[in-house]
Order: sequence, then C-alpha cells, then structure tokens
Amino acid sequence: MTELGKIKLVSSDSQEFEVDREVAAMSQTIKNLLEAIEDENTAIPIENVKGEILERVIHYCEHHYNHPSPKNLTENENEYERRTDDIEPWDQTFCNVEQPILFELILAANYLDIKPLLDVCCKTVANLIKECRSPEEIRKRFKIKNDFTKEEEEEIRKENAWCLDEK
Amino acid sequence: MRHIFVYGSNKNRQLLFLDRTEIFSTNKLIDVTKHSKKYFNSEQPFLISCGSTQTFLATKEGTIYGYGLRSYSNINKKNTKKKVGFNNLLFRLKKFKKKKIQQIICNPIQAIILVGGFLYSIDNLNTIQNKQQLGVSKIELPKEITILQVSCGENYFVAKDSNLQLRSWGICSNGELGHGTFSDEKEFPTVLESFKSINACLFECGSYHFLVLSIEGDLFGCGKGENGQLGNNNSQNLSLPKLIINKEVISKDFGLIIQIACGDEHSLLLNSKGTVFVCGKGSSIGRANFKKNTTFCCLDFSLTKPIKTIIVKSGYQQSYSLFISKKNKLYSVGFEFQTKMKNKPQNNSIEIGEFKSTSNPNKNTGEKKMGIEVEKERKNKKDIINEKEKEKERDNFIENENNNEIEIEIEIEIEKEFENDQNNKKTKIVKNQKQDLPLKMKNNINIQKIEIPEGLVPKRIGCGWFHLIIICSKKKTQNQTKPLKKQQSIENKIKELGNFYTLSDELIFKIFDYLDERHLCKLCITSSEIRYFATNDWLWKRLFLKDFKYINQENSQDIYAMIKTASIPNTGYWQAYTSLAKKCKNVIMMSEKSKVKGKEPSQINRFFKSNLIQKKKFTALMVGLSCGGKSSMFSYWVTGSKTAHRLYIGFNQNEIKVHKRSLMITQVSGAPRIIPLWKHYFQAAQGFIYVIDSTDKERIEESQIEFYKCITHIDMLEKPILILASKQDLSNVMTILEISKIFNLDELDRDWLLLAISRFSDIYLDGLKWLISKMSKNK
Repeated sequence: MTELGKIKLVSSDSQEFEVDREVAAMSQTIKNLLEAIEDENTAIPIENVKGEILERVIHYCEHHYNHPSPKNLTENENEYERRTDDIEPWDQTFCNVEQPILFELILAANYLDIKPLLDVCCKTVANLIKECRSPEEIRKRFKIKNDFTKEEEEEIRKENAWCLDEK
Repeated sequence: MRHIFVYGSNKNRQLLFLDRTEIFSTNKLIDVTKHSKKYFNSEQPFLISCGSTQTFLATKEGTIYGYGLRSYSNINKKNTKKKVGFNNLLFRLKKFKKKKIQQIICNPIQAIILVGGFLYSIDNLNTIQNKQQLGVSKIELPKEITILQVSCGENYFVAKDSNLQLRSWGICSNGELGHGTFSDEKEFPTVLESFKSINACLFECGSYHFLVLSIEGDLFGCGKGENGQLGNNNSQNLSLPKLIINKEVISKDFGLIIQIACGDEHSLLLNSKGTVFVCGKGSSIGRANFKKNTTFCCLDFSLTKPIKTIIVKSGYQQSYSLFISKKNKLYSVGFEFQTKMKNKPQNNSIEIGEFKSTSNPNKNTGEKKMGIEVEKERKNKKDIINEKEKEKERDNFIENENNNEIEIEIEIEIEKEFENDQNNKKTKIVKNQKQDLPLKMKNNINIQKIEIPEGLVPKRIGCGWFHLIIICSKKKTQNQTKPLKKQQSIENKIKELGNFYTLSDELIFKIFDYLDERHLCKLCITSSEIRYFATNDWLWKRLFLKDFKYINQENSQDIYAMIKTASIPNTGYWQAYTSLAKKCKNVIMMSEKSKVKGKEPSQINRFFKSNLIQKKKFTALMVGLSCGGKSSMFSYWVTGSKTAHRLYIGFNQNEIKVHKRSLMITQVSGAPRIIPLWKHYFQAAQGFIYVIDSTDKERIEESQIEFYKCITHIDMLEKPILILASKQDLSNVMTILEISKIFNLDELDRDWLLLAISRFSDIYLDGLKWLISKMSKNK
C-alpha cells in the first residue's frame, strides 16, 4: 500500500519509487495515466526509463515543485531568438552530468513529457556544442563518426567557410 | 529447454501427451514438459498451431507432430500408435528434416506448412480423399514465386508472395477471398487482381475477413463485416479489398503498426508502443456491454501494460485474444457470452493452483460458475435471458468484491469440454479467479491474467477452440545476462557512433534549434547524418527570419524563388541564408575581430540592418511649383484627412505606407525662393515625384522648365519619375494628353509615369507602388 497522495513508479529495471501524486503529475504522461487509472495503488510502470535516470527526474520534479521558477520574463523577447544562457543555477548543477546520462535524461523528459526539464537539458547540450570551437571538437565530444571522404569534407568545408572561426 | 503447458479440452486428444482416459479436460495449466523430453527425442518444440480440435507442433529439427482429431489419423497410421506407443499422436512427419519450418497454420480442413518459401498442405481426410505422400502435398505455385508468409481463416488461406502480392485460395462465402465475388472457390493460390498495385506489409486472416497493411501504411480490409470487424465504420461485407484507414490517419492516431490480428468477429492492431486497438463484436473485444465497435479504438489496459504480441484464435462461435505483454505476462480478453445456455451450470469450478484438475468440485464457494452450451442448434430466448441474468449477477458480485477492497475479482476464462453421456454436450465453464493485480479498467473490459509459473517466458502459443498450448522458455539468469550483453554491445556501438543517434529526430532538432548559424555550420562538417539535421529548413527558417528580416517576398523575389526551388528538399532557407551570408562575408570577418564573447547579436544581422534599412525605406523627393496642390495631397496621403490645407510653404517629410512597404517622401515647397534648394535633396532621393497644376495654364511652361532642370541634374539621372497632374477634379483643366505633349514626355527616355490625380483620390497609391517597384529595380 502506498501512502495517501503518493503513487508508485516502477522503472524499466523494476526499481520502485514513491512520489507525491502532485510531483509526478508534472509529467504530462504520468498525469494522463493517472487519469486513466482508477485505482490509486497501482504501480505505474515507466517502461522506457532506467531507475538511475528516473531517480534524477524525480529529484528534478521535487525540487521544482517546491521551488517554482519565476516566470521567464525574457521569453517573448523575440520569437526567433533562442537563448541558452538563461539556465538557472540549480538546473545548471543538475545538468552537469556525464554526457550519456544527459542524453538519457532528454529521452526520459521527452517520454514523460516534462517540458521544462527537456528544455533545460536541450539547452545544456546546445551549450556543449557551442563550446566546441571546431567541427573536430564536436566530433570528439559527441563521438560522431566522420563518414565524409576527404574530397567531400574539403568541399563542405569550403561551403561553410564563411561561418567558421579563423584558426 | 522449452516448457510446455496445456490447458482445456482433451476430448479429441489434442493435448499433446495427455491421455484422454486420464485427463479428459483441464481448467488449469498442466505442465507437460517432462513428457516432451521423452516424445520429442530431445528435439526442440519450435512452432505450434492449434486448429479447432487438433494440434500441430513443429520442432526446430524439422519434424512435425500432429495430435487431435481422428480424421487426420489415416495419414500415418503405421508410424504413430505402435512406434511411439502413444495414442494421442496422429502422425510424425520427418519430411522436412533439417529444414527450417517457417510457419505452420491450420484450420478445420487443412494444415499448411511453410518451408523454404514453399507451401505444403496436410489435408483433413474427412474432406479430401486420396492424397499421396502420407497426405502431404505440395501446393503448386507459379515458377519463381515463393511465399513469405501465410495466414488462414476458417475455410480459406491468404499468403504473401515474394513480389509482396497477396494470393488467396480456399472457399469463401462472405467475399473473404477478395476476388470480387462473395461466394467463391479457388483451388490454387491466386493473385488478388484488384490488389496488384499495392504491396502488402502486414496481413492477417480472421475467420471470414482479412486485413492488410500496405507498405505505404494504408490499411485495407476484405470479407465479412457484420460485426464491424473491418473497422470501416459500417457492417457491410466486402468482396474486394477496400481502403479502410489511410496512412495519414494511421500514423496520426495509431502510430507505427507492428502487428495485425483478426479473430472470428473482431480485429486488433498493435503499435510499436504496445498499445492495442480493437474493433468488432463487443464480447470478443471485451466490452461488457456487448456493444460492437465498428471503428478501431484503444484497448485501455494496454496503455499501462504494453503488449508485445497478440495471439488470436477464432473459436467455435466465439473468439478471444491473448496478449503477451512486454513483461512477458499473459492476458486474455474477450469471450462470447451470448451463446445459448442449455444446462444449469455444472459444479465444476476448480481453483487454480490445485493440481488434480477435473475432479475438484466447488473449492471456491464464492465463485460463480457458468455453463454455456455451445451447441448451435439449440438456441432459445430463455437461455439468453438466463445468460444475461448471470452476467448481471456476476457484475454485482465483482462490484461487491471491489467494495470490500480485499481483492479484486478477475475472471479467468477456462474452457472445458465435457463428453457427457447425454448428447455430447460441450460445456464451457467460466471461472472466477482471485488475483492480486487489479486489471479491471475503464469500460468494464474483462481482462484475465493467465498465470504461468514464475521465471518462464511464453514463446509460442497455440489456441484452438477448446484448448490452449503454451510453449515457454526459461528466463534463466544466464540467458538473461546474454541478451544484456548483446544490448550493451549495441549500446556501445551507439556510443561509438555518437550520442545523437540515441535521440529521435525531433529531439535533435530541438537541441539544434538553440544554436546559431556558426555552430550549425560546424555541425555540417562533422558527418553526413548530422549534416542532414544541421541543414534542415526547420532550423534555418528561424535564423533566416531572424537575421534577414528585412528581406521579404516582395523585395527579394529571387531569394524566395531560391527557397522554394531548393535542389535538396527542405534546405531552401539554408541555401538562401548561406548565399546571402557569403555576400556579406567580409563584413562579418571584419566585425569578427571586435567580437565580444558571450551574447552578441549576430553580425550578419547588424550588417543587414544597416544596409537594408536604406534599401527598404526608399526616399522620394516630391516637388512642384507653388499652389500646385502638393501639400493638400501630401497631407491626405499621410493623415487621410480631407480638411483643406492651408497654404504651406516649406519643407515636409513623412513616411507613407504603400502595400506593406513604406516610402519616405520629402516634400519641398515650390516657392520661388526654395526652387534652387531642390537640388540638395536630389542625392538622397531614389525617386522623383513632380506635381503639375493642371489648372495653371499660365505657369505650365515654367513648370516644364523646372522639371527638365531637375531630371537632368547629375544626381537625378537614372531615377524613376512619377508625374502627377493634380486638380483633375476641377473643370477647365488640361488633360493628361495635353500635359504630356507640353512636357514632351513621349521623347523622354526615362522611367516615367504620368498620373491624373485629384486631391482626395487614392490613385496615388498606384503611382507610389510603381515608383517603389522602379526604385527597387534600380538598386
């Protein structure tokens, strides 16, 4: 039996987490599921998320449930502008994890439909890309395999030369 | 090592090794694994198919075993009883030794075996006589055609050949052969002519209907539709495959469909997320209210318990579905309760978990028992009413149980067959079983969980009318680590390739959306796949609109043409952006040096802002002799007010909106003192507006002289000229023709336009529009 107002989430590797109903409902997916399930005590399987990741996600939700972030005033500054430097300090620390975990967080946030978490994680990845000064650095950091031939790469480099930093 | 469980009726010896005299029927799963070792000679059971009352089993080694209905028994009499010494076995076929049997299916008249792309049939000797080769015959197919997949209904078969075309054969009465007639018979697999242009991806036969998913993603159906099982929102039979749901709707509402399943009176779709969609007869799809569904709707329980595979068998006057969830649990949905009841329920409720099966009466006192006579001929209303009452009672009972909050009632369907002394009655017993897991979801769907012992994973399931055979594999710890390792190696591979590969396209776009052009260009160079994402218009449109907001469709048609006609789809904005950006490359490079780290406005943007403002906001000079009506017109253009303008001498500058574009007009007075100053405005103007007072015949000569002075000035050459003949609403005015003659405009080799105009007419807009178009051309 779960406590009143709490629900049980089960990760893909069968780890169980007890979470406040309200906190869990920050995930649109879980919210929808809760509405569909009549029984309060049903453990909700989160099939696509590993326990390690689910724990982090719950941590995020709990923090933001208790510390609702002030509305972003700069949001509608320009519909074509995208800012990545407006991540809150807590979120910055939260996202300061190894890359594979960050990517899994993105997948989890997407699956669970937690928009703020997804945004923050994507911004963090974008910042990681921005930190790279050259294509080689990006390749190295994100383990991207270069599948261009030398000629192709030369051509593409030329094509994009206008935008590349001078070495 | 495979575990085998059997369940249900053994009347026709269909339960593999179980002796009919010992176990006539069972309503619990019986583990027969230990027998299998003995009888399969250590071969591994691999495929299983149950017909009405028969069971066919194929092993990995290529041997086929048949059990059940006697009428098959002539096939291989010698081999069976004596050699195997077991009276259930009808035949053992070693014909396909060492070959991989791809599929084995059966219906009441035939069993079809698919081996190496060829079809073999084992006929029921009651229906077809004089077959050679132990009753096994190869089904003739055209040369170079092999079969990829086969499915069967009650009396017909559909197969997918190597050209991805459907072929059907057998007997139909509801159009299910799909050849255009409702009643038909085909001896050999025949291509569905009307379906020739469509390539089948998935298909499945129900008893009297079949569904096909084309490679493109459209869903087609054919055959009996009485209970809405075709899902096309009506109940008509179709003799030709017709489109039921098009691909747009499917991808939107259902997602990626990975399995189609059809039963007697219902159809199911399974998508990649494990959600099941059903339509058809209410009882078959588990609706407690028996209401039929003529369109596909979601089976609620699959939302929380994603389904891996569906197994459907059309039973005798009933059909049900079995589901294997992604967690390898087994569920069943849908039973026919509307069959006639004959007798009072038999006292044969047996608790699951008891091993001795048939002889255990009334262990659970609280349970309801239902006996259902399945015999066709004995329909009568009373029985149906009876049945419904039972149903109600049962529902009440369930509710009570729920209220008590102790355990939740789940029914498990257990079929049982009795060969009573009287009349060979077949009786089905519905048994209630207590479970820990609540499975009763919305809409009163009757879902039953079939318990299989812990640690076993159902692999293959055969379901017949009255029996069930489940082959399980062990979930060994060793076995578990093996696939894990495999998974890990795949994961490692993904890591090698780069983390982006773990994300969906949508997510990659979302991340890239936060980047600006320079980072995207860097990404372009990294790999071809990343390049695909980094050049997509989804990203570049935003950048384009952000950085080149002064370019729009009207002033840069060439650029927009470029966007629309991009050689690679979805890269138009990217190409336009890069070509524009290259033009101002030098500017960027210069400003690059003064770049401040962090948040800097795009250099390109800055460059274009400064350049395009002038480009966009054209300036025109508007002059004319005094009292020509310039100021009145101008004030009407600017404010729209029709109040008479006082004599105004001097200088006026205002922006005028003309069809979304704005034009800065500098209006300078025509007072004699001011005329010599006009030339100072020439340089800044891209266009020239000259106003002629149509009433002022006296000064027309003077006006003409001033006009030519202006347009021949060095700063005015090449600039378009708009001539306005004002006050045309008054009487006794010079016509445009006269003015044109006086001004000798015919011989003027310049871009010019003469307009007749009055103070408050809106014709000026056309003039200004023309002027702007000329000015932008000159630029």
